Amino acid sequence: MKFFAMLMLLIMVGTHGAFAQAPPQGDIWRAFAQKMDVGARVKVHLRDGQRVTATLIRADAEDLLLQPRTRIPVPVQRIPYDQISSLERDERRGIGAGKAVALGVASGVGAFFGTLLILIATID
Amino acid sequence: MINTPIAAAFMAAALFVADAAAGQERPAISMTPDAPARWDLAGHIGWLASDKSDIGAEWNDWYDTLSGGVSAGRYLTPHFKTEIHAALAREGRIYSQDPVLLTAPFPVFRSREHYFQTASVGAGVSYQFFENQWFHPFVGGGLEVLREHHRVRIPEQFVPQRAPGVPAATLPAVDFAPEVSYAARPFVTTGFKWYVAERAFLRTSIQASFSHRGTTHVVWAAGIGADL
Repeated sequence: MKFFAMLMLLIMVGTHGAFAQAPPQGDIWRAFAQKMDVGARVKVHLRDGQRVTATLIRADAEDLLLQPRTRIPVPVQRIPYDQISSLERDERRGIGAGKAVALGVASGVGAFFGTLLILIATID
Repeated sequence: MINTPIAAAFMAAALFVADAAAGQERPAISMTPDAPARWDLAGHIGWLASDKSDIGAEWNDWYDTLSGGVSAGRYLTPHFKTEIHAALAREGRIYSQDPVLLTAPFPVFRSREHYFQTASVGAGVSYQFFENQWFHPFVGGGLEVLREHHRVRIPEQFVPQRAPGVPAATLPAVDFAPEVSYAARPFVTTGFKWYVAERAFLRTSIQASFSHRGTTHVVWAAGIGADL
């Protein structure tokens, strides 16, 4: 019994110590972001569930400045580091070969059937 | 023809969802531009298929034809939009056959040509996925009123000699007076908008309308439009 109690105490102290050693998440993302190149394309996942692809404008001490990649430009957004759930560089550039092929096939099939339907419509 | 309870329930649900959406909290990262689109105008051509199983035989119970239309939408939020649309279809045709007893014991089958032409106006709401992106799938629903013009023609038919002493005959064509009917139908739709410029898009969709008999109309449409 005494041995078991000692073991539990050691585990709890060890666990507490381990938690205490982990830096706050915000500090981790700040350190990571400050090593990224300005202008890098990044994917950000926020704690509220929002996911955004953006261009890194600046990594300040307090906030991350991002320009979301949108169809119509939006203002630069200031994101506190502690709101970030994950941050990663987005290496994707343009559409991949698979998507290009799929788009081509879909367009071709669509155009074929569209033309066919129009031809059928003109037949009395 | 009008399924009022279903239609009313559908519209009420749609309006409730739109109202709830209008009160959504803003996200941490705003994707909304300084001058967001308020209106969406589009035109389309499409292919209409309509169920006429109450008239046509099993092998010929749907007609299909070319259609075209316009729509105007008002964004309530970046995702929710109310929309009205109007569409006009070309005449479509199905056949039916009726037995006519000219001489016993075998009847002659006369073909009837049923011509239908529909026009519709509708209103509904749609939910557009994503915000301020180049590709936006959407789903929606609402209520539309269809005006259907129906005319029937029995073409001239030659009946050859079928028994000794019974001469061949030519049955004259018959044209019946056209009928016009109106019906309200709930509809659901899905499709996508693919932007080709900041405020101009290609749009394609499939819309299905319903009655107590099931699906009555299906329209595939493709067109262009702009956000204003």
